[in-house]
Amino acid sequence: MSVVEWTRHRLAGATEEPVSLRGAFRTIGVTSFVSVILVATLFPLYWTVNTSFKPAPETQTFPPTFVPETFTVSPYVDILTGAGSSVLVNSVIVSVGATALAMLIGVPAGYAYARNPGKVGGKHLAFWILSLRMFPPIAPILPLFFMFRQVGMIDTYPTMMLLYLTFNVPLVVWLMRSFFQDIPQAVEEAAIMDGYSRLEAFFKVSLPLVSPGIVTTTLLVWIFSWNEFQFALVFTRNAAQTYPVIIPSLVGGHATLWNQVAALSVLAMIPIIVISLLMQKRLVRGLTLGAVKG
Amino acid sequence: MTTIELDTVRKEFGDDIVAVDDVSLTIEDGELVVLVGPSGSGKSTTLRMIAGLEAPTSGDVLIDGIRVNDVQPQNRDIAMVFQSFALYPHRTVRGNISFPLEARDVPDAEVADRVEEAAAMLDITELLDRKPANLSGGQQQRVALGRALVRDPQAFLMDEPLANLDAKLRKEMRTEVVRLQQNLGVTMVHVTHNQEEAMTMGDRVAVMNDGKIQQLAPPKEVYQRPANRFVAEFIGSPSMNLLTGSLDSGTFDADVGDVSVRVPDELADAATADPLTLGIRPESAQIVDSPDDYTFEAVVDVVELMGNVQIVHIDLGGAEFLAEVDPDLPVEQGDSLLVRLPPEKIDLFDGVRPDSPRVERAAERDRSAPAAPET
Repeated sequence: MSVVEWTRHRLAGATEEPVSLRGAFRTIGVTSFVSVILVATLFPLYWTVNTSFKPAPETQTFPPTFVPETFTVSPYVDILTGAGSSVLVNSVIVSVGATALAMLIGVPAGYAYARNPGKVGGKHLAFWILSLRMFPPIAPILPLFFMFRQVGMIDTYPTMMLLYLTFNVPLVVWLMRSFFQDIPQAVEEAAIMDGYSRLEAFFKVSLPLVSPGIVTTTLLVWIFSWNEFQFALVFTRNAAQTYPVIIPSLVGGHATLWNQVAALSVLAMIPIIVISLLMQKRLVRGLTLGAVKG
Repeated sequence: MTTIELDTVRKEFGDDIVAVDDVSLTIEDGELVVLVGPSGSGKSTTLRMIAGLEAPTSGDVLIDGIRVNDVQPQNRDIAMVFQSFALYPHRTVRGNISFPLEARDVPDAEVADRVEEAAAMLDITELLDRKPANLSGGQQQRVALGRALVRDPQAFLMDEPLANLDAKLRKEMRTEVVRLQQNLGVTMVHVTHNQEEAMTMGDRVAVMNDGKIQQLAPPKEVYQRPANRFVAEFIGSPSMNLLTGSLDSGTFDADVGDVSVRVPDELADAATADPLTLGIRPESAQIVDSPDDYTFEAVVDVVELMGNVQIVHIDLGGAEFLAEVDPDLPVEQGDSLLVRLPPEKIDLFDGVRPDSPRVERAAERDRSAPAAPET
């Protein structure tokens, strides 16, 4: 029984385990494997939440406390009355704007690639778009910095939204291309024969059908934009500063405000978790959309 | 009133693929024409050019005498049913059927009435609120038909709509489509690779191969007087027996086996090519007791009992010859028997290529109906 089968077996509510020594060992193996993965991924999360409710001195105690001895929300109050609230607002503006822009450009491009393979932009444009994601983001930072400084656009929202296109557009184009490819062309042609223009067919048929894919792509792009650090560090000073840049500034020379770092991290995680949970059904459909044909 | 006319329509893909090779075809008002041919014969591309989903490289498409090459498909008022049915998965059956009406800004009340009417006609009223994913293949097919007929289009184009159904359902739907077409009196072009479908459905059948119409004629004529070797072999099941060989003073000697039979003089005299092809349908071949000029001796390879007939496979040493005979005739594997090719049933094809034309008999030549391919 593979892990998948085993899980299905359990999910199906099967009570009768296959009784064999081999089966038992396998169950133990699978359970321990899953446990290790779970601990490795969930423990840091737990520790961040734990730390965010401790007063500063308690974050340094040894042995560490697994539940705050002195439970306090002051790290949240401190970070939100300090730099935290403005950077979170900036993060919302920049990430939402960057996501919208990337989707606006990338979705039609992905559609064009799906419907006219090999025709859009000749042989090389598609690969060029993909290659944008291959170089390390640090590589273009310096030239881009000088370009944006020349036109006086350092530390502005539009600058950040434009910069994030560099890594978001390729992702959107390639994901959306495959989502659109999964929609049979005949369905669009049927809409055209039914009396709609190609554009109407796109909006009335293709777009609704690809909506799980759009949800997934939007969420991924938004998470990348929300958490982006390198560009934000170099291109923002104050006005457009996003939350990831603030966190290192809390690591001071004299003391590190670990509880505030944790509090800001928790605040930054909340929207991602909430949105992912709300979208879970569509998200899973989107992630598996290309996987199963028919 | 809708006639569809193709005037030397050509479609090339890339530099060297000619999908449709100067096809001319007129489909009369209320007629059901079936385009039939093997895959890659250009039948679907021809249909898509009528629909407007493909633009001809050259030539004109005319609907009711008006050139529509530059008219967008959505403005041609033609309905199309696709092989995959192409239903809208995000809409209910009702939403699928009403979709073409919504494009035409039909008032809501009328939309509801017409959807109900179409659903009743196709017996899918109880499915109206389901999504396509919850329908069987046959039900999806009905929805696709409903979507096509709800808006009372000028013509129906059917792109292998029965190919995805199982055999029993395919026959049922075949009858249903013909019944609908006759009741509505609408012009219809039906594409299929299934020759049986073509024979049973079409008012006229256009047999296509290599981008050309090989023959355009009523089914019976296509069967009885195939224009060329390709049509003879493609139409009919089991296929016509085709033997290549040469004529020597009225006697046909096949390249394979020990087949040497007389052919009628009028055919022998009219044939010009050498080598050429002799054709005879399996049901016309006879198994006889006494030899004459029209018999040859051969050994039985396999016997298949089909119920009403039995098909005798005869090994000609390199070629197979089929004879469809009475099921009570005692024939067994390994038997040596006499096969007779009745002279009045023999066809000669002037050459050995698929487009080698059938040699016509004098009586046929006198008739006015042209049996030659139109292209």
